[in-house]
Amino acid sequence: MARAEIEIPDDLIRQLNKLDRTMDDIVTKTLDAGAETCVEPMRDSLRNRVSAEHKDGELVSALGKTTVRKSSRGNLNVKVGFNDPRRDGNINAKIANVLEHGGRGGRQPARPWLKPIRKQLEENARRAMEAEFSKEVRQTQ
Amino acid sequence: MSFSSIMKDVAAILTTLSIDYETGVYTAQPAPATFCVIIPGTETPECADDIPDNVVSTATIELYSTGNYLDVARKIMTQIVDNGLTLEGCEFVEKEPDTGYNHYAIDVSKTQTWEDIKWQQ
Repeated sequence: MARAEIEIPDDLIRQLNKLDRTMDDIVTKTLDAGAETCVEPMRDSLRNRVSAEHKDGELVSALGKTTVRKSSRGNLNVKVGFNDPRRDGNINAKIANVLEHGGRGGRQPARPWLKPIRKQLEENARRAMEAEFSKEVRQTQ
Repeated sequence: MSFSSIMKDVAAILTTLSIDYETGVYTAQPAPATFCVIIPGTETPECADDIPDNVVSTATIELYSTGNYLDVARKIMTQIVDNGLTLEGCEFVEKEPDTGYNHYAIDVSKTQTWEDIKWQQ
């Protein structure tokens, strides 16, 4: 019977091994880069939509990103959201949600701040993550 | 296909289902047990050579209900799909502590060609 043996070059194996070892680190940096691009546009949009009487800046300054953490299932995750609760005991995430959707039995008009920029955020994050990932992978070689 | 705005389509759906609605804010007092507020969203043209090809318009149906809203929400969702609109997503916003209403948001979008949308002289 004919036999063929294919050997993967040692260099490639070494690189793949290294990539495997450093993947968590690379993904962490990639996720962080993606989240970073979201924070400022979200703050800007929020700043524009908060009504004048509530402009104490607490909602805007509470918006930020978490560090990248590993879930119990082993997935790496990063979140962009609000630091809660507020000084007055209210919940920032809830206020932002009511701002987005309106409330008080339909009497408070919605002032969508997230939906109009969602596509743009996605696009920015994807670009930043692609760039960061490529950069990190290149560095492992 | 002739032009019909997403707001008009959504309003027609809610009328069919006999659900009270207003646009932007709900002003009628006292408010009924179940009603909707339609919020217009974005209009995003998808361009090629600076000419819009398709235009995607979005709207949100804010559903308020004092009781179980699931059946109403499902009816609205079904009508949305049956009427050729796109169901973008649903979200429970909150149970409002001051009014007792359950607040549920249904995101809808509609894609129309530029030929349908542009002003015909």
